[in-house]
Amino acid sequence: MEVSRVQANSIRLRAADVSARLVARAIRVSGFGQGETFPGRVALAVAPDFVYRRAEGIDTVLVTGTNGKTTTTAFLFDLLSSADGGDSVVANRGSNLPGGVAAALAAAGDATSACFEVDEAYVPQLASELRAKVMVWLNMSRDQLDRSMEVRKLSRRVGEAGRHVSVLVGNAGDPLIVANSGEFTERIWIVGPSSWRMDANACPVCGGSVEFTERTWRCLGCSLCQPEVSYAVDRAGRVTGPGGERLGRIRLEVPGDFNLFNALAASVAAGRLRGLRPERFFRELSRIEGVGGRYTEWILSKLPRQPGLTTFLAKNPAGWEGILDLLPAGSRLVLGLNARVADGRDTSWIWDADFERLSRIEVIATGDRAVDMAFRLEVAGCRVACVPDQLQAVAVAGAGGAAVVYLGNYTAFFSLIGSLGELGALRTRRVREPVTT
Amino acid sequence: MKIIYVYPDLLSTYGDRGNALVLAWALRRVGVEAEVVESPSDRPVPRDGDAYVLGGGEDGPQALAAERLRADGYLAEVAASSRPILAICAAFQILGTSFYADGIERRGLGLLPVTTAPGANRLVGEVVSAPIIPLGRGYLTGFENHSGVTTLDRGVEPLGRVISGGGNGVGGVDGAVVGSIVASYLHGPMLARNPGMVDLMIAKLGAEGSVSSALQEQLYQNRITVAGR
Ligand SMILES: [Zn+2]
Repeated sequence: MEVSRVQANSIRLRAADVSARLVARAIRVSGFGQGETFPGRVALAVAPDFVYRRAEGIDTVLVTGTNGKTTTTAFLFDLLSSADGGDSVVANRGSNLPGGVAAALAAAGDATSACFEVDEAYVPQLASELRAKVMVWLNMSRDQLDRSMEVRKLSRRVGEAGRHVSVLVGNAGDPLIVANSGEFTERIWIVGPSSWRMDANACPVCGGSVEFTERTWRCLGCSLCQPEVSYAVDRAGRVTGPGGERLGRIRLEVPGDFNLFNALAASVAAGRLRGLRPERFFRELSRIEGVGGRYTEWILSKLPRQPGLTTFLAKNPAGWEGILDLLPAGSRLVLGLNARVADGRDTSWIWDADFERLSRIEVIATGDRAVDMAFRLEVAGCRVACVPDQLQAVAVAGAGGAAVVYLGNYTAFFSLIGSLGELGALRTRRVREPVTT
Repeated sequence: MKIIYVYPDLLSTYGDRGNALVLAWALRRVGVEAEVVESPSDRPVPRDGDAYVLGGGEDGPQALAAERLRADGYLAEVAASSRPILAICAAFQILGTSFYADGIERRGLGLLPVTTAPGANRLVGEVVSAPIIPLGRGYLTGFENHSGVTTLDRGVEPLGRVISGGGNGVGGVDGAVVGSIVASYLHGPMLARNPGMVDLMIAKLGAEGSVSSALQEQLYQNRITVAGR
């Protein structure tokens, strides 16, 4: 009896694996979509425990948080691959629901290690199914409130992953993470130079005021405070270790303070998984570029003066503010806003980002909700034009030959990237991507 | 003029800062100097405000905000002196006599004769209502996201009659208007999407005229059109 059930199970798993591969190939051949999620959904339909069984024997790092999941996972993919000296690492890219993870696993071949970004709402489930060795928890901030749980409840849920994963690489600067980390056996705390704090001013434990200073924070009402930090990175990329010793410097191709933090998180997690010191990976980090058009530079060859274009993706106020800090002087700014299901239907969040710092700059608002964005910018004191069609907006911005900077939220960003060919867009930086299928 | 944005550390979940920003912008458009002053919850609510704006929050911060506002006590004086208060979502509930947070009944400030009970379903999505007080506009629109059912005491005037969406979750209405207090479940933010509401607030502050811009009118029209009106 027992033997035949095991056989039946393994046949079912193999069937799921084969079905997923066939579907993935069919999708690639037909040219529809990227084949990222559908094969995984098929695998899960044939064998609901597909992830659990297929993850057997694979050393996995799980990456979660509101912002930076995709880029951190791309960093990890490269670091783990470089340490392996081979191609036996598997990762997903942007598709961070169970179907996306299953699809990546179906195409994993004989991979022995993996890194997966996981949507916050699915963290405990996938942490247990993947039996991840290390979890990277980047940050928690407001995002798509109309469809996800409120950020405090969601943080509690994510913390439950500690029942299944023993090692946490966590952001010591985020009270919502620290307060919900109690179930992890080993906690490695890291900090970066980032600054978004609007979602943690009331203590997640007692509701008291949380006092932030330049370097640390503590609750005035209870004992919650910033834990002892093992690794820290500053704005210049300098990293210090557990005793305050200097470990060297991270230099990145992709911009932004928040990416220095993401890079440190990836190094520490890769080091913990491989039993190596994090600084072993710093050199490799400098070779990694943006994923899926994030932080990508283009030339728009079909426009008369062939202007440059840089594309940024950000999904919520913390993400937008991080990128507004990076705008090069003299560039023309295009801001794309959609409110489809994947973006969240409510655009109120744009009023939480500090666009006042752009006042007196000329900005073009675009996307499905261009008018909401344009009015936000008008109130912020910008000179604003409203051009709902995104390609047209980019073309208008680049008409004079000035470099264009585009920043859009999720579906706005990907619909622009998908249509940039019409402007003759050529990448000026090669983008390496983790291959999943 | 000073617009006090009350407790941004606890009540600012849905871009509610926008209401204060739009009000200051509108005042400047009619030639009144205006600034937004943020009033964090660990300090007394400033006494020198001309208008007070409060927004939405999750259960824990909402309960804490109510506690601190009751201890502070100043909003009652603001209401007694007829200075305008705009209270959205969680703040609407806090200004009432009681509400629920984390499943526990809490005391409100008692400035609005309304009570809020937990509802069976979360109300999430676009709302269109017809304003009951004349606003010079046919509709009010906003985005709601709450699970409270707010019952108005007899004789309390709602802000609008709901055409689509949930609003207060009972009686087919949204919000409440009592003296100088205007309360509603509509964020988006409310003052960004509804030029008529801006005019109302401006009038309460003793200024006059319609101050909206072409972009704001376009935004108002857009949201009505999307709602199929
Ligand atoms: Zn506390």
